[in-house]
Amino acid sequence: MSVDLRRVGSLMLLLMLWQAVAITADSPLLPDPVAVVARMVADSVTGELPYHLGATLARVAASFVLAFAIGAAIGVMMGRYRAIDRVFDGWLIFFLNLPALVTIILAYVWLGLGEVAAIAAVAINKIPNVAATLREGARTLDGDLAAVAKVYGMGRWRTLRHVVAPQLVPFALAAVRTGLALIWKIVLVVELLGRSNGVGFQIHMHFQMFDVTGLLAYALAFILVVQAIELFILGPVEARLVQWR
Amino acid sequence: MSSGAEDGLAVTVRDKRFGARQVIADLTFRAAPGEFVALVGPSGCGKSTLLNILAGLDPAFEGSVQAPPGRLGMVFQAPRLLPWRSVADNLLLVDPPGGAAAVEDILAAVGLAGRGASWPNHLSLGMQRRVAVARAFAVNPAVLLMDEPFVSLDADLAGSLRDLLRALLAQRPTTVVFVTHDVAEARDLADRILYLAPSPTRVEREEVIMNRSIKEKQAAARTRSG
Ligand SMILES: Nc1ncnc2c1ncn2[C@@H]1O[C@H](COP(=O)(O)OP(=O)(O)OP(=O)(O)O)[C@@H](O)[C@H]1O
Ligand SMILES: [Mg+2]
Repeated sequence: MSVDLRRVGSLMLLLMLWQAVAITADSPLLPDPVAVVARMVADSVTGELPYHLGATLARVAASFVLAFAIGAAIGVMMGRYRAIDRVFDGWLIFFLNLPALVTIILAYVWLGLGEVAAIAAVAINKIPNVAATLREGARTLDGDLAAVAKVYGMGRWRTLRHVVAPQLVPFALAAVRTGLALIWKIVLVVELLGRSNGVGFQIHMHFQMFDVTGLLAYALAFILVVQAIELFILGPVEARLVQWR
Repeated sequence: MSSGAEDGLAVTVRDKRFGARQVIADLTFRAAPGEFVALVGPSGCGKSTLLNILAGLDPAFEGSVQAPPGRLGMVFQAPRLLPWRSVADNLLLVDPPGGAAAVEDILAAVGLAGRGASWPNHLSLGMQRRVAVARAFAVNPAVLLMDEPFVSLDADLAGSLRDLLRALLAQRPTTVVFVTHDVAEARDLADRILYLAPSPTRVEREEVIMNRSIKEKQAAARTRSG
């Protein structure tokens, strides 16, 4: 986890640019970075920002786990069994191309403006993505290694854990990465449209009051959390899983 | 070797096809318990296909396979190790009767003492082959199928692995089917050699080598007299 100096440099450049434009514009509609950070700190102290961030994180976690479990099961089945693949391939294409907004609105209409609808809407948006990725992985499973497992009587669970799962790891990691990026964004829309807490809700509130500083404070906090998860959770997990390479 | 053949390995492959192409036709052989049968035949004639059938990996054929009770050990033509598990874990995952201690012993026996923690892809091909041989030995198999296990190893190493195989077989009765291109190797190890002819594969000729137990008695007699 070495700090990439070029990346730090390019971020500094962005901040400086922002600062310069803010000074030139001199408008409450474009606060400078210092004001935004100050607001982030102030809202953190009152507990408001952590509360909304927490609500969003909980939704991301719940819908992510749900989408991943269901999507992986569907994808692996489709990758392993021709017949299932043929039946559901059309469905997959349909759901892959269904706009997220449509799913969200339909979930709220059909299930009511509640937490279940919110999480279901996000999960449904993500499931086809996970399924398509893991189907690719399941299609490329190595039959030679399956033969080894069979000859040596490894049994179902052991085979799944030590022979099959490691082959799916790169595909699962790809699904996690693209999945999180997608889910973060959809959760915000879900919150904006039908929840009364979370980062999406707060951004909506600040938008209605033209409070750009507050809006940017939440956006920045959100980006920082996403990056932290990437850096401190996903990165190390991935490094551990592929250390044999 | 004449008695008890019904407890050994009995194979009949009347018809084996890949698509429309017949690969094996009317091939029958038996191996008595503890017998060592070598299969020698040209490349592509269906030796690996036959071993897969023997191992129960390929049910798509016409015929029957009868195997004695007990575990199966198989050395495939390629090492086929799990690259994401250490060498020792590759052996432990096949549940060797002796556990971790047996794994260390068998690794030492194939000349890989202390390499248990290595990743398989950090080993040379010859070393990976030896791990695959160790894996097959580790389960104390009743039937041992080996597909050119000592190819691409230098002569000394191949010789010492042959000695190890002999020592193992002396300890416990194991029925062995051993595929090789090397007739000298087959004569050195086997009780009987089946020469296979291709397209479709059948047994062309059989060569009975002097029984191993007789060979051993003679060797023992020589050491006594000499
Ligand atoms: N899965 C398969 N699908 C189609 N054809 C196959 C398949 N496996 C083997 N064959 C064909 O069957 C024949 C026998 O192959 P096999 O691998 O058993 O030969 P072999 O005697 O082991 O050769 P070698 O000594 O080179 O290892 C070959 O002509 C091969 O092309
Ligand atoms: Mg072969």
